[in-house]
Amino acid sequence: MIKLVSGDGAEFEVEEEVAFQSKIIKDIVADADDVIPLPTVSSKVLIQVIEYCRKHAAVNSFPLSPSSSAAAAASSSSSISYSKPVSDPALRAWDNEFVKLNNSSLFDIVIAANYLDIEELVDLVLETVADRIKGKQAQEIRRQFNIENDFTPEEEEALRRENSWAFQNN
Amino acid sequence: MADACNSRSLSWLVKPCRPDPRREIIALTPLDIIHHLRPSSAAPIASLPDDLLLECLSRVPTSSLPVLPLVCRRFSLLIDSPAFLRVRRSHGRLRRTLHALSLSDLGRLSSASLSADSSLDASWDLFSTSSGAVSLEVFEGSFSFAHARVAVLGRAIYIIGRGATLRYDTWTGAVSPRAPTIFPRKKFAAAAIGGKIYVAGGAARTSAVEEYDPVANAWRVVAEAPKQRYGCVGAASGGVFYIAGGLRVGGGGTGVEAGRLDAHICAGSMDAYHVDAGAWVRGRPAAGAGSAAAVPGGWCVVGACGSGPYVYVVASHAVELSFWRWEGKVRRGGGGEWTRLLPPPVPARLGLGGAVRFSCAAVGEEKVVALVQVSVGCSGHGGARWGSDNLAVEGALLVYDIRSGEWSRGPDLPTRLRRAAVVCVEF
Repeated sequence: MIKLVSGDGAEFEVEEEVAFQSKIIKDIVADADDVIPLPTVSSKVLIQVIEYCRKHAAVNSFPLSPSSSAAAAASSSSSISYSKPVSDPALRAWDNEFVKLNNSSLFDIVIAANYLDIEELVDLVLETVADRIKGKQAQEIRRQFNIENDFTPEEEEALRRENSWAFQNN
Repeated sequence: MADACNSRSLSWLVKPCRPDPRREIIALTPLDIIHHLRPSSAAPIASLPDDLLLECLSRVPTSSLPVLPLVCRRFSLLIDSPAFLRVRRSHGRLRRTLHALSLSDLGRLSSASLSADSSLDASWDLFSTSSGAVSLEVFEGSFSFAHARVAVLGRAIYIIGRGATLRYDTWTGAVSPRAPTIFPRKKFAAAAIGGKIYVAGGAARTSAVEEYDPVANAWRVVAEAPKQRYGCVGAASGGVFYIAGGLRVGGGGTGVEAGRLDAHICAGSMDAYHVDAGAWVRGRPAAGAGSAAAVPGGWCVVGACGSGPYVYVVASHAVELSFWRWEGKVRRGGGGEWTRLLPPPVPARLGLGGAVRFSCAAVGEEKVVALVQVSVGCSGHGGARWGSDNLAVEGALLVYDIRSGEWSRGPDLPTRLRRAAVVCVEF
């Protein structure tokens, strides 16, 4: 078991396969009883990241037989297969549920996942955010992500003139 | 924040020994990385560091990209950064589009686009502004786009005419004026290298090579060309600006005879300017002083483009065409090698009568396209077919597959586009 310590001091004991979804943890863990401090990750975010890693560790260990994922979680094999799980429809459905979060939570998760180098989770969240940007007008994007319009009125007028096409459906 | 520097933290252990490509990308953008350790609930997206936001924006589908630069300054800077194209390329999300452009002196821009990701067998999508939609009043004195050259920077195509320059945004269709070249030029060489545009030739009074900086919207003279060429073409490869073909004007000979002799020598030769070194690449003595190379056999360069380490050249000799590949060896004291390739199969009806115009563009390192256009006067066999111009224009797109070495025929250009130039835009 590996002990992860969040920025606010909460400790989480997880199996190696779960922790090793993070390539950084996988690279630095020397012995099995390591305590890994994660000062920049809050316990709220760490719980979500561990939930994701637990699910993916189970599926990734035996990518060809999802039914035996329970056994995979119990297995103590230290060689984790990083086969791409996107081909597994059940896991994809789980992922889709997992990212049904508000933007702020998603950003917290992607920052933690990037820090821990969990490539698939970074991909998943960025794809989700990109999907929320897709097909929207500038004003809608600003509202949705609470972005301040920091163009000066003159710049905005120039943009409006040069991009009349983009403003048409506003 | 202080925790990040603590020797017990992960970042201390890991970052120095693990180069992360995403961090390298960001090192190349001129933007401050916003520290991401304390997400602020007030503006969630501001908590994302630039590399993650760039990754996120690069995943937005092509059709939704045009609106992004309008959202805020940070989005606009990220989308305009070279890193944005690099990230999209690394994800295989880059789309390539051929654009054929023609601009009338009245300010009517006609543009046809064609996806270059597939086999180039769809038909062109036509886009056209109304006459006078492009405000050309800003240009002082006389100007003309009759022999304009085009160069691509990011998503924008710059149309450089004599005494006037326009920027065409391929995302929005917006056309806006930009600074004209310092010296008025016609039938000159132009190419984009490292986010800047270089032009040379086409001016009788100067041999200056000019560089355009899109951020400053300004031209400056960076070098003097060894020859004053008129009717030359430009190409870029390996950081070198090639100025090929054309007639020699000014300088050189004193009489008509000398001028003619020079013109012949010039027609197949290339001058090569290494942009970063700020120096002309010297060729072997046989190629003539100052010239990096000349197409063997007295051919006259009519079209050229760079692709990867090569320059592809279409050359003409009376009614015959040839096609060449030049591999420059800049680092080994100049010189290089010509390889003769299969000539473009110009359709017979385009090959005779009227003036034939060529425009070449590379699609990545996979294809070279040559747009062949011929204007046939009303007495010619083509007859008048378009509008009141009494001029039929036919444009054939020929596609060279670099890997197989075969030419094929692409969709014909819409007849409305006269004197068009073709470029490839990636985003």
